[in-house]
Amino acid sequence: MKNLSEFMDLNDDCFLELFKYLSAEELIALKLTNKRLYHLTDYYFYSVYELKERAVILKGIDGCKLRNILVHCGKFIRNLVIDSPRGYSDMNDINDNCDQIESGTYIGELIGNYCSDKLHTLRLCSVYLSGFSSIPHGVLKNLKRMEMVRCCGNVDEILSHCQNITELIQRNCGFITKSEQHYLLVNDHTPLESLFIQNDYQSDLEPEILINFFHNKRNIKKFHYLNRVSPAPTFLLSAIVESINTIEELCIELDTFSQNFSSDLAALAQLDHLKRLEFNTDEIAVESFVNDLTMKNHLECFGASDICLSASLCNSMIRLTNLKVLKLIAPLRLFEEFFKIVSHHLVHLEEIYLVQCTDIFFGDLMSFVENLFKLRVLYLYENEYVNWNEDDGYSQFTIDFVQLFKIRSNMVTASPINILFDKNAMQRIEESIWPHEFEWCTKNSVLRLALADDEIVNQIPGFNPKQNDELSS
Amino acid sequence: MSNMIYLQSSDGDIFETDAQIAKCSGTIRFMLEDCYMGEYEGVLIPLPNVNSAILRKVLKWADHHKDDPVPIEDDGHSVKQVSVFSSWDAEFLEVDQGTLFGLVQAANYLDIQGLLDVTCKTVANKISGKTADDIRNTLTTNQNKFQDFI
Repeated sequence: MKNLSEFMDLNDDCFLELFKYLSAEELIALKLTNKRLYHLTDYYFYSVYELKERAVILKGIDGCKLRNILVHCGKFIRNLVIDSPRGYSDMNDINDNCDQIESGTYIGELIGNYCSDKLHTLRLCSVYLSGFSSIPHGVLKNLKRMEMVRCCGNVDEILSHCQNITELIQRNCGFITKSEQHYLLVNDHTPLESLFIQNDYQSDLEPEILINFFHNKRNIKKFHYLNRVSPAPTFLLSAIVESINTIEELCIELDTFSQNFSSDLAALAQLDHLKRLEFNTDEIAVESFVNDLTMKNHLECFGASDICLSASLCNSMIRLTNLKVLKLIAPLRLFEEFFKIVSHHLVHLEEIYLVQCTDIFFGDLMSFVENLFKLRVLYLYENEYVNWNEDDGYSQFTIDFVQLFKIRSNMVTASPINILFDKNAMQRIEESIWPHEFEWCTKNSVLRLALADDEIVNQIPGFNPKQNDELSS
Repeated sequence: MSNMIYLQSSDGDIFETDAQIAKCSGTIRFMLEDCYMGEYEGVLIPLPNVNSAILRKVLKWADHHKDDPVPIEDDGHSVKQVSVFSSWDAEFLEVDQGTLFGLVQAANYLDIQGLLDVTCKTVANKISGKTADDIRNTLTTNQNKFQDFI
């Protein structure tokens, strides 16, 4: 064997192994060094971006970078994510500081010119949507899933190219004001099965438009509607039950001032296929509704805000024995016996979300989850823990954490649990326990401490960030 | 009980090593368990694709990492991440580029995932943030290797 001294002496197998550690941008730089790497990177793009549908993720709207990536591997991309870290979009940034892109070029033109009809999933965050009117027809014809978050611009222009989309997520793109502007809502030939609309800042669709939409979309399976400014009137619920009884997943921010809240809510128990339900209550009694839900007993996800966790409600909830996901947001009180009552019944739980709960005994919570063999996620956000205080340096946290670790370590078939805390709690824990303890808590493979994703809690009905309350007060 | 075997490099040098250490290589493990059916005390395995300088380094790495858990298989759905190198690995990889590329090739041929991870990541770090021109200038001393520039 000759002695290796040059990069280009590596064989193709080694290059393909090396490519696994490189981003699309880095691979393109390598692609442009010589012909051998040009063809080899193209083969790699085909195998991962097309065959395995790996997402090409672009952080930031650097026009040159975006163009460069789309020119050199756009034809292979099936899953494209463009995510601006700015958190908002109010202008076209693409040609800023990029002389390769003509002024007046928009993101739609770049996608249209360089991507192919293989594009299957598109996620755009804080992107100014324009330029889609001139793209070749058909580039987006095979798009199945589209997510737009905090995007401005012309949404209808892009959606009019997406006739075969089955899943649309449109969060805080505050420009849907009239039905005729929203292609997918008015066109009843589209195969849309899942719709997620969220608007935290301004009013959104009129209820009549939604009722028409339900009427046209009898095959809808997932519907999320979170409008923090004008929540859905509860009379919509009966329209949902009448029109789309195929629905399996319903997540809705309801107008709790409605006089018929409880009776309108009760209609949902008629949905035969319902598996996941999340709603807000504002302390309205829901015992009888939950009782009705238990009759079906195939509910896999139950999430509710502001419910009063009375003994009778707990006794109803224990009959939801197939529950895999439980979300409790700001319950009126976390009934002290709640964990003990439900622990031997809700044994299939895989994810638990406790948000803005007060008076949690962390030790009781750890005892509750210790026998949940399938539990993977314990999401704890802005809660108050009874026996944690500054004086004892959170020693109670460590004691309870280690106790659960020991028990789970001996359970061979149990899933590893990710315990996720909000930023403040995490910071307090990190400051209060020893650095080596904190490192061990975040790195062991049985019980892993990590930071909770804020995006998750923002998609739960009835969630009001504490931070905003404090600011306004 | 140790079970010694012999590995012969491409330039003819013979290295005596514990079979348990050599078995971190998938290629050698396959030979010992399938070709020699587990009866491999004292066998000589020729490795025509690895020279003695590189094989010595590989065995040093394997000895240090003999108790490591088996790395997780890559599913290809995202760019591979390697957690921060240990200081031992960082020092081990302070080598000239020829040796580094030799280690990549050897780790790939011998199927040693842990060594492949750290060596490829080291090469990847050299590529990261560079243009095509920078890569040509940094990773080779012989520009003829890139003369078919497109």
